[in-house]
Formats: sequence, structure tokens, C-alpha cells
Amino acid sequence: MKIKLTNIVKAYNGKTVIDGLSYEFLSESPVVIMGESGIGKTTLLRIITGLETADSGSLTLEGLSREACRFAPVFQDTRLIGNLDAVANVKLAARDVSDDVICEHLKSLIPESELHKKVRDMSGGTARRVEIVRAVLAPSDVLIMDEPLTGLDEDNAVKVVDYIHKNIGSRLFIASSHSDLFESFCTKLSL
Amino acid sequence: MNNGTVRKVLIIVFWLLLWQGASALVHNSILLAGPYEALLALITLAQTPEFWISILLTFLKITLGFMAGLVTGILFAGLSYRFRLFREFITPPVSVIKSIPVASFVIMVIIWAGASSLATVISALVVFPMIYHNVLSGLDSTASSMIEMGRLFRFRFIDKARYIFFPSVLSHLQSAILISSGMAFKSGIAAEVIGRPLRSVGSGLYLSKISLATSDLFAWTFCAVILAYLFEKAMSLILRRISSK
Repeated sequence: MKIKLTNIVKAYNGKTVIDGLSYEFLSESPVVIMGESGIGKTTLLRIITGLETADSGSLTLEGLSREACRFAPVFQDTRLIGNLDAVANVKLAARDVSDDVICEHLKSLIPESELHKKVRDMSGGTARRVEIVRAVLAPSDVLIMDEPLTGLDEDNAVKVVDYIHKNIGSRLFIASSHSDLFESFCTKLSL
Repeated sequence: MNNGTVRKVLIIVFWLLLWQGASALVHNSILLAGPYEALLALITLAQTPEFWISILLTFLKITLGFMAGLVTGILFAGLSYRFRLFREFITPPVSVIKSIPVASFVIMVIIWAGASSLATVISALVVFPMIYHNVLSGLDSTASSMIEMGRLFRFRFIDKARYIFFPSVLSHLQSAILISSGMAFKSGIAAEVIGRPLRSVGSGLYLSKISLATSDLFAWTFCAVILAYLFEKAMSLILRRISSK
């Protein structure tokens, strides 16, 4: 599938954040958006997922209608259900995936002892990895990850990037990151 | 008994003695019956089946009204949250229900539905707006970030309700339930005094008024307070169970 942006403009309180961006995202070509903080990476991802609308310009999907297109996001901030454990959090988004598969995926990124801990008792880095597994296992057409490596040390960041790379499948993948780790398999889009 | 309990008991004993002393001073059981007379009246009343039936009926009717107000309050708040137009439509009648004096409602209900269902309807009308407003403000204060998350991952309705909305509604709902359960009993019994349905706490209170039996009045009042207290305790126990899950 293809997501085509044409002349996207977005401003907040009179300040232009995205100024006439045009780009084509293709499922066979993963993209990492790079750029300084506040340059509009999160805004762009939010426009793509439909959580915000552009002031002008157009966004078209090819190969799938807007309503049918399923996004699996990793948000910039942590958005998990605090009083549920890691497995239950993933299960909520990936109902058809068996618990065994969920546990397997989680174990590849977090220690086994963390699997059944309530998310609110986890460290930020562990919760982050749970969010990545949730996005990967949720049935989706587009994977959108906003700074997925936040709070991860170098070793874990490498592991996570490798995990994502192996599990993208045929999905369209867009991430924003400060790290150059994604460049190993992604095309770089500088804002 | 620890120190705190002893102090509490002594304080209660102090007030009872003061009450007894005041009634001895007044020396007129019509004006002010003492706690001893009230206790005797309660024992006498408790020996008649009519007394227990009245208490049970009043309790059941008010509980039914409370539940009706609770369920419709939650349902309407959900609809108002979901549908802007529904919220705009429902706002005037809810404000009207909230501001009309209970006594006016009582008379209307007596005319339209008769006295037997009075306590149920009145307590429902008192509970409904409180629950509605509190649940709605709980829903409105749900973190938009979590709503977005549920939307993108296409959570089922039941999962959204349980894991995203319920936690932010719970604290609002808890305080609304505790306040409105007390209000339901006060207004329900006040309505019974005006409407005097057969076999009710309100009728008992009314009878003690026309027979100038202050001791009976206190005995019935004591029952009303106990009913409201037990109901409120049961409610807070249920709520604590739910919130600890």
C-alpha cells in the first residue's frame, strides 16, 4: 500500500510546524523520520494516523480505504493500562493472538519475571518495550512508532530495532527517531 | 477497647445524658421525650409486625428508586458523552429535576401515580441528576491520550468502557453514590410523610406527629437513620470491592 502526502501544512498558534511537505510512504520501503525536537515529527505521525488534520494539503491512501486501514501505534508518551500486566495489555490490542505467542514475543524483549507484573510497577524502558510488542502484534496495515527507543539503553535499543525489523512483515512502517539505528533498514526522511 | 473507641463511647454517653437531662428539665414528654422513653417506644413498636413491614417496605422502595436513578443516571451520562445533541437536549430537563423542590414532586407523583410508589419515584428523581452529572464529568475528564490509544487499536466497546473510561469515572461515581444514597433516604422518607402510603416509615412518623408522641417520632427517626446508614455502608463496601479489582 501507499500513503501519499501532498503539500501538507500544519500550524499551531500561528507557528508553522509542517510547511508544504510532500512524500510517499510505501509498504515495501520502511521510513525513519529524523530531525530536531519540535520540528513536527509527532505532528506528522498524528496527521498520518488521522488523530489530527492538516490545515491544508492532502493525504491519500492507495490500496486501502481510510476507514479500513488499521494503524498500530507506539505513541511518544506511554499509553498502557496501568493496572494490567504486560500480557493483558498486548492482548487487548491483539485479541486473536494466543497468550503463548504474546509471551514469546514479550520474552524476546523483556525479562520473563516482568511478564505478569502490573505495567504501572514497571520501569519506563520496560513499558516501552511492551508498547512495541503491542504495536507489532496488533493486526494492522501500518506501523507507526514515535520515538520507540525512548528510555532504552544502547543494548536494548539494538535488540528492539532488530525485533521490529524482523516483524514488520508486509506492513507499511514509519518511525520517528533520534537514533541512527533505524537507518540499517529504513529510508531516512529529514524534516 | 482501645483509647479511641473509649473516647467515642464516652462522647456518645455524654450527649445521651445531656438529652436525658434536658428532657427531665422540660418535664414534658410531648415537647421533648428523653432517650429512655424513645428506647421504650422503639421496643414497643418493634413488637408489632406492622413496624417491621413498614421498615422493610420503605427500605425496598427507596433502594429500588436509588437503583433506578443510578442506572438511568449512568446510561444517560454515557449517551450525553457520546452524542452532543443528546447532551444538549437532556440538559434543561436535568436542571429542572435538580432545582424543583422535592415537595412539589411529591404532590405531582401523588396525583399521577398514587402514594404507593412515591418513595421509589422520589428517591430516583433525587439520585438521577447527581449520578448523571458526576458520571458525565468523569467521562469528560478521561485522558484523551488513552481514548486515542483505544481508538487506533480498535478496542472493543466493553474494553474501552472497562479500562479507559471506568477508571476515570470511578472516583466521581463513588462520591456521587455516597452522597446520593443518604439523600435518597432523607427525601424518600420525607415524601412518605407527605404522601403517607400504607405501611411506611413516613406514615409512622406522621402518626407520631398527629398523636403528639415525640418518643415514637424519635424511635422512627432512629430507624430511618439506621436504614440510611446500613445502605450507605453496603454501597461503600460494594464500591470498594469493585475499585480494588
